[in-house]
Amino acid sequence: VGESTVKKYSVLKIFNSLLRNQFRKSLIVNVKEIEKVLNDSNTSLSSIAASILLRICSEGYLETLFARIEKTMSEMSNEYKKDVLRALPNVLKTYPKKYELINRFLLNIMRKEEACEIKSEAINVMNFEIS
Amino acid sequence: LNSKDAYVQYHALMLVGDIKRKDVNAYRKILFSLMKQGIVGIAAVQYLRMLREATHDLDCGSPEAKDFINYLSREIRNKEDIVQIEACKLACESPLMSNKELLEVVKIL
Repeated sequence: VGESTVKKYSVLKIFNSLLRNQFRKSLIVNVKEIEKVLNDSNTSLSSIAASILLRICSEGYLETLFARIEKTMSEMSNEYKKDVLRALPNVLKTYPKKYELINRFLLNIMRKEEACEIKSEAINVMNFEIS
Repeated sequence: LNSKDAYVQYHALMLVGDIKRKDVNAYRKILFSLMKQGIVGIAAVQYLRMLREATHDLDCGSPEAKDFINYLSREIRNKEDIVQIEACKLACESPLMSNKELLEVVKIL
Protein backbone atom coordinates (compact mmCIF):
# COMPACT_ATOMS: atom_id res chain seq x y z
CA VAL A 1 0.00 0.00 0.00
CA GLY A 2 1.42 3.38 -1.05
CA GLU A 3 2.04 6.27 1.30
CA SER A 4 -0.59 8.43 -0.40
CA THR A 5 -3.23 5.72 0.08
CA VAL A 6 -2.47 5.57 3.80
CA LYS A 7 -2.73 9.37 4.05
CA LYS A 8 -5.99 9.42 2.10
CA TYR A 9 -7.37 6.68 4.33
CA SER A 10 -6.39 8.55 7.51
CA VAL A 11 -7.97 11.78 6.26
CA LEU A 12 -11.20 10.04 5.27
CA LYS A 13 -11.35 8.26 8.60
CA ILE A 14 -11.03 11.60 10.41
CA PHE A 15 -13.79 13.08 8.23
CA ASN A 16 -15.99 10.08 8.94
CA SER A 17 -15.58 10.43 12.70
CA LEU A 18 -16.15 14.20 12.43
CA LEU A 19 -19.47 13.60 10.68
CA ARG A 20 -20.81 11.51 13.56
CA ASN A 21 -21.59 14.88 15.10
CA GLN A 22 -24.39 16.43 13.01
CA PHE A 23 -23.35 19.99 13.81
CA ARG A 24 -20.04 19.43 12.05
CA LYS A 25 -21.70 18.46 8.77
CA SER A 26 -21.29 21.88 7.18
CA LEU A 27 -17.51 21.71 7.59
CA ILE A 28 -17.01 19.22 4.76
CA VAL A 29 -17.12 21.29 1.60
CA ASN A 30 -14.91 19.31 -0.79
CA VAL A 31 -17.64 16.81 -1.71
CA LYS A 32 -16.42 16.50 -5.31
CA GLU A 33 -13.03 15.20 -4.17
CA ILE A 34 -14.67 12.58 -1.96
CA GLU A 35 -16.88 11.54 -4.89
CA LYS A 36 -13.70 10.87 -6.87
CA VAL A 37 -12.43 8.53 -4.13
CA LEU A 38 -15.69 6.57 -4.37
CA ASN A 39 -14.43 5.15 -7.68
CA ASP A 40 -11.00 4.24 -6.28
CA SER A 41 -9.83 0.68 -6.88
CA ASN A 42 -8.92 0.33 -3.20
CA THR A 43 -12.03 -1.05 -1.47
CA SER A 44 -11.21 0.43 1.94
CA LEU A 45 -11.01 3.92 0.44
CA SER A 46 -14.17 3.59 -1.63
CA SER A 47 -16.10 2.11 1.33
CA ILE A 48 -15.19 4.90 3.70
CA ALA A 49 -15.95 7.49 0.98
CA ALA A 50 -19.40 5.91 0.55
CA SER A 51 -20.02 6.14 4.26
CA ILE A 52 -19.03 9.84 4.28
CA LEU A 53 -21.08 10.70 1.19
CA LEU A 54 -24.17 9.12 2.71
CA ARG A 55 -23.94 11.73 5.44
CA ILE A 56 -23.33 14.79 3.25
CA CYS A 57 -24.52 14.20 -0.31
CA SER A 58 -27.42 15.94 -2.02
CA GLU A 59 -30.77 14.25 -2.67
CA GLY A 60 -30.11 13.94 -6.40
CA TYR A 61 -26.86 12.04 -5.88
CA LEU A 62 -28.40 9.39 -3.60
CA GLU A 63 -29.46 7.00 -6.39
CA THR A 64 -25.99 7.00 -7.97
CA LEU A 65 -24.47 6.52 -4.55
CA PHE A 66 -26.68 3.56 -3.62
CA ALA A 67 -26.05 1.94 -7.02
CA ARG A 68 -22.32 2.31 -6.45
CA ILE A 69 -22.50 0.95 -2.88
CA GLU A 70 -24.54 -2.07 -4.01
CA LYS A 71 -21.87 -2.85 -6.60
CA THR A 72 -19.01 -2.79 -4.10
CA MET A 73 -20.93 -4.16 -1.11
CA SER A 74 -19.70 -7.73 -1.60
CA GLU A 75 -16.06 -6.57 -1.37
CA MET A 76 -16.60 -4.40 1.72
CA SER A 77 -15.60 -5.62 5.16
CA ASN A 78 -18.38 -6.09 7.73
CA GLU A 79 -17.21 -3.03 9.67
CA TYR A 80 -17.84 -0.74 6.66
CA LYS A 81 -21.13 -2.41 5.86
CA LYS A 82 -22.25 -1.65 9.41
CA ASP A 83 -21.00 1.93 9.08
CA VAL A 84 -23.00 2.41 5.87
CA LEU A 85 -26.12 1.02 7.55
CA ARG A 86 -25.64 3.24 10.60
CA ALA A 87 -25.62 6.30 8.32
CA LEU A 88 -29.03 5.40 6.86
CA PRO A 89 -31.31 6.71 9.68
CA ASN A 90 -29.77 10.11 9.11
CA VAL A 91 -30.42 9.89 5.36
CA LEU A 92 -34.03 9.00 6.16
CA LYS A 93 -34.30 11.98 8.48
CA THR A 94 -32.83 14.38 5.91
CA TYR A 95 -34.57 13.00 2.81
CA PRO A 96 -37.76 11.24 4.00
CA LYS A 97 -39.05 10.97 0.41
CA LYS A 98 -36.22 8.60 -0.43
CA TYR A 99 -37.59 5.82 1.77
CA GLU A 100 -38.39 3.56 -1.22
CA LEU A 101 -34.81 3.66 -2.43
CA ILE A 102 -33.53 2.88 1.05
CA ASN A 103 -36.04 0.06 1.55
CA ARG A 104 -34.96 -1.52 -1.73
CA PHE A 105 -31.35 -1.28 -0.59
CA LEU A 106 -32.14 -2.78 2.83
CA LEU A 107 -34.11 -5.69 1.36
CA ASN A 108 -31.25 -6.39 -1.01
CA ILE A 109 -28.88 -6.54 1.96
CA MET A 110 -31.22 -8.86 3.88
CA ARG A 111 -31.27 -11.20 0.89
CA LYS A 112 -27.55 -11.17 0.06
CA GLU A 113 -25.78 -10.83 3.40
CA GLU A 114 -25.15 -13.84 5.56
CA ALA A 115 -23.68 -12.21 8.67
CA CYS A 116 -26.16 -11.85 11.52
CA GLU A 117 -24.68 -8.51 12.68
CA ILE A 118 -25.31 -6.92 9.26
CA LYS A 119 -28.89 -8.17 9.13
CA SER A 120 -29.49 -6.91 12.64
CA GLU A 121 -28.19 -3.42 11.67
CA ALA A 122 -30.54 -3.47 8.65
CA ILE A 123 -33.43 -4.38 10.96
CA ASN A 124 -32.48 -1.47 13.24
CA VAL A 125 -32.83 0.90 10.29
CA MET A 126 -36.24 -0.55 9.42
CA ASN A 127 -37.22 -0.20 13.04
CA PHE A 128 -36.21 3.46 12.94
CA GLU A 129 -38.30 3.93 9.79
CA ILE A 130 -41.41 2.46 11.39
CA SER A 131 -41.10 4.31 14.67
CA LEU B 1 12.04 14.39 28.15
CA ASN B 2 14.77 16.94 27.45
CA SER B 3 16.44 14.61 24.98
CA LYS B 4 16.34 15.48 21.28
CA ASP B 5 15.81 11.84 20.32
CA ALA B 6 12.14 11.07 19.61
CA TYR B 7 12.37 7.50 20.95
CA VAL B 8 13.93 8.59 24.26
CA GLN B 9 11.18 11.21 24.61
CA TYR B 10 8.57 8.57 23.77
CA HIS B 11 9.73 6.19 26.52
CA ALA B 12 10.04 9.05 29.03
CA LEU B 13 6.45 10.07 28.23
CA MET B 14 5.22 6.51 28.69
CA LEU B 15 6.93 6.41 32.08
CA VAL B 16 5.39 9.74 33.12
CA GLY B 17 2.02 8.35 32.06
CA ASP B 18 2.45 5.16 34.10
CA ILE B 19 3.64 7.03 37.19
CA LYS B 20 1.16 9.92 37.21
CA ARG B 21 -1.97 8.71 35.43
CA LYS B 22 -3.88 8.00 38.64
CA ASP B 23 -3.36 11.54 39.94
CA VAL B 24 -5.42 13.36 37.30
CA ASN B 25 -4.45 16.92 38.25
CA ALA B 26 -0.73 16.22 38.48
CA TYR B 27 -0.88 14.28 35.21
CA ARG B 28 -2.61 17.17 33.45
CA LYS B 29 -0.18 19.70 34.94
CA ILE B 30 2.84 17.77 33.68
CA LEU B 31 1.32 17.34 30.22
CA PHE B 32 0.44 21.02 29.92
CA SER B 33 3.93 22.05 31.07
CA LEU B 34 5.34 20.05 28.15
CA MET B 35 3.45 22.04 25.51
CA LYS B 36 6.29 24.50 24.98
CA GLN B 37 8.92 21.78 24.86
CA GLY B 38 10.08 20.48 21.48
CA ILE B 39 8.51 17.03 21.46
CA VAL B 40 9.07 15.43 18.07
CA GLY B 41 8.08 12.48 15.87
CA ILE B 42 6.63 9.40 17.50
CA ALA B 43 6.85 11.07 20.93
CA ALA B 44 4.65 13.94 19.70
CA VAL B 45 2.07 11.40 18.49
CA GLN B 46 2.10 9.71 21.92
CA TYR B 47 1.92 13.12 23.62
CA LEU B 48 -1.20 14.02 21.60
CA ARG B 49 -2.80 10.70 22.56
CA MET B 50 -2.06 11.38 26.23
CA LEU B 51 -3.54 14.87 25.86
CA ARG B 52 -6.75 13.26 24.58
CA GLU B 53 -7.34 11.51 27.92
CA ALA B 54 -6.24 14.51 29.95
CA THR B 55 -8.45 17.07 28.21
CA HIS B 56 -11.78 15.28 27.70
CA ASP B 57 -13.34 16.87 30.79
CA LEU B 58 -11.89 20.39 30.47
CA ASP B 59 -14.23 23.38 30.70
CA CYS B 60 -14.73 25.21 27.43
CA GLY B 61 -13.59 28.70 28.46
CA SER B 62 -10.82 27.68 30.86
CA PRO B 63 -7.23 28.91 30.30
CA GLU B 64 -6.13 25.27 29.96
CA ALA B 65 -8.63 24.75 27.15
CA LYS B 66 -7.25 27.84 25.38
CA ASP B 67 -3.68 26.53 25.74
CA PHE B 68 -4.82 23.17 24.38
CA ILE B 69 -6.53 24.76 21.35
CA ASN B 70 -3.47 26.95 20.66
CA TYR B 71 -1.21 23.92 20.87
CA LEU B 72 -3.41 21.96 18.47
CA SER B 73 -3.58 24.90 16.04
CA ARG B 74 0.22 24.84 15.98
CA GLU B 75 0.57 21.09 15.64
CA ILE B 76 -1.87 20.76 12.73
CA ARG B 77 0.79 22.60 10.71
CA ASN B 78 3.61 20.34 11.88
CA LYS B 79 6.12 19.34 9.20
CA GLU B 80 5.84 15.64 10.06
CA ASP B 81 2.80 13.94 8.54
CA ILE B 82 2.19 11.54 11.43
CA VAL B 83 2.10 14.39 13.96
CA GLN B 84 -0.08 16.51 11.68
CA ILE B 85 -2.62 13.71 11.17
CA GLU B 86 -2.75 12.84 14.89
CA ALA B 87 -3.25 16.53 15.76
CA CYS B 88 -6.04 16.86 13.18
CA LYS B 89 -7.65 13.68 14.53
CA LEU B 90 -7.55 14.99 18.10
CA ALA B 91 -8.89 18.40 16.99
CA CYS B 92 -11.83 16.76 15.18
CA GLU B 93 -12.65 14.57 18.19
CA SER B 94 -12.38 17.29 20.80
CA PRO B 95 -15.63 19.01 21.89
CA LEU B 96 -13.54 22.06 22.83
CA MET B 97 -12.97 23.00 19.19
CA SER B 98 -15.46 25.36 17.57
CA ASN B 99 -16.61 24.95 13.95
CA LYS B 100 -14.51 27.98 12.98
CA GLU B 101 -11.34 26.36 14.33
CA LEU B 102 -12.25 23.04 12.77
CA LEU B 103 -12.71 24.62 9.35
CA GLU B 104 -8.99 25.33 9.37
CA VAL B 105 -8.29 21.67 10.24
CA VAL B 106 -10.54 20.43 7.41
CA LYS B 107 -8.76 22.76 4.96
CA ILE B 108 -5.39 21.34 5.98
CA LEU B 109 -6.63 17.76 5.67
